[in-house]
Amino acid sequence: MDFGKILQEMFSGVMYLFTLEGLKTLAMFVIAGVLIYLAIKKDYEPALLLPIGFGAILANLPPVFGSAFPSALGEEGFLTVLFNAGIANELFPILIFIAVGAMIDFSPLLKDPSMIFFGAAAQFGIFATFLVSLVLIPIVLPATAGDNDLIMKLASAIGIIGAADGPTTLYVANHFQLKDYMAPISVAAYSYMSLVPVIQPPVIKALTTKKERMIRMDYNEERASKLALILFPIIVTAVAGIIVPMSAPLVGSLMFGNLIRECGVLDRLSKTAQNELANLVTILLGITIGGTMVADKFLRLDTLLILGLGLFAFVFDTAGGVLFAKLLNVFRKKKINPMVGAAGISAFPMSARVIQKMAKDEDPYNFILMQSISANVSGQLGSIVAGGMVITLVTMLLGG
Amino acid sequence: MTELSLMTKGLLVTAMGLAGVFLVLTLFFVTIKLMQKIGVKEKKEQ
Repeated sequence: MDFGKILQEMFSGVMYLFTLEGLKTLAMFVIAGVLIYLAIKKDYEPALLLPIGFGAILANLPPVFGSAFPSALGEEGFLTVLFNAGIANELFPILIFIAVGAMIDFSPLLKDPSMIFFGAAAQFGIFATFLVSLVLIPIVLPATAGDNDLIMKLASAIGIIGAADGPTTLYVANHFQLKDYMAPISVAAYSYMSLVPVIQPPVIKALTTKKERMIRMDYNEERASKLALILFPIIVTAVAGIIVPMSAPLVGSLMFGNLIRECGVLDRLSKTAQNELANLVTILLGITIGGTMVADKFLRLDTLLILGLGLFAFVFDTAGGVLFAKLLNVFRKKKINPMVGAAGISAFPMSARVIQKMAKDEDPYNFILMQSISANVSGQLGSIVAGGMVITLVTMLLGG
Repeated sequence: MTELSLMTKGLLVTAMGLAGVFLVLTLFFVTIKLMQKIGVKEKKEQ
């Protein structure tokens, strides 16, 4: 019996912590700790940040003796199994969209469809960031210089972060097989989603005057007809599927969830989609994303670049919506509160709530929640269509 | 198309992407407006 070998095997984890790789592990534990802290203490998107943080701890544990991977990773590790089963084949984003669709009430949008254009304007940041990324990626990451295909694909996924739409970001990143960049991209997308109350208000305040923020808007309380609510998801799926076929899986799943909600005969399924399905997939998605945060792939310069450009995209998406509203006001008799434009991003319903809170801070009797919700659900549609457009155009230009 | 420079490709994606998003959402807008008209007609008939 070789006691030396037994001891070495028993304490391989402890020994590992005293190596360079071990230091990286400790750094990742700190990052995971920050995510868990933000989730518990600051209540920033806890349903996602907590599983992501815990998944990051699991993914960075010392490797099993004689193997290069911790037990949760490796070929048969449960995080790898979950990744292959839910992210590599784009299943989790699709399931999340069914759940989100079942939660969305399109009634405010159907009553005031002009708000839909904010869902398009607020995608401006995606494309602005895409262009900036094309310039910055080869400079900051010299290893990518010359590999135009990789640069285009990476720029696409980074741009989509701006829509504050985690599932679409994952969908695009996965479509372009950016597995090595999945961790920073998804962490940026979900972190910025949770930081809507922190990021949006200063951008909106910088672009609007107090008078503009106090603009009141009329709203018709009447609910849209049942027929319209049933026809809307069907027609949207058909239109989006015909014009941007690449968006069909995301639009289709979102609208399928919404049809279950609005049809009136599937209450049980609607509640399951809104609760059990959403919760289950969120748990699995979060911990799986956390599982991609392996030190070697995360503690790199690209992570900082992706986080920085993601923030840039988010800020410009918000600015795009606000400026578009101000532009419309030049031509309109009945003015729009420009803050509503900022709700054209996809973070639903958080962005709409933030806008309403800001309006209330300026004027306690100003109620623009329904208009903000309309812009916010339009942002959901806009970001999916933008994702589909980016995939289609980039694939086409790369000769795929 | 594949031989265009990186920035030209980027500008193409940006222009066509934004135009595409606005086009699709405009179609959704038209759809909703049509449905609203049908709804008003139904109400009048009732």
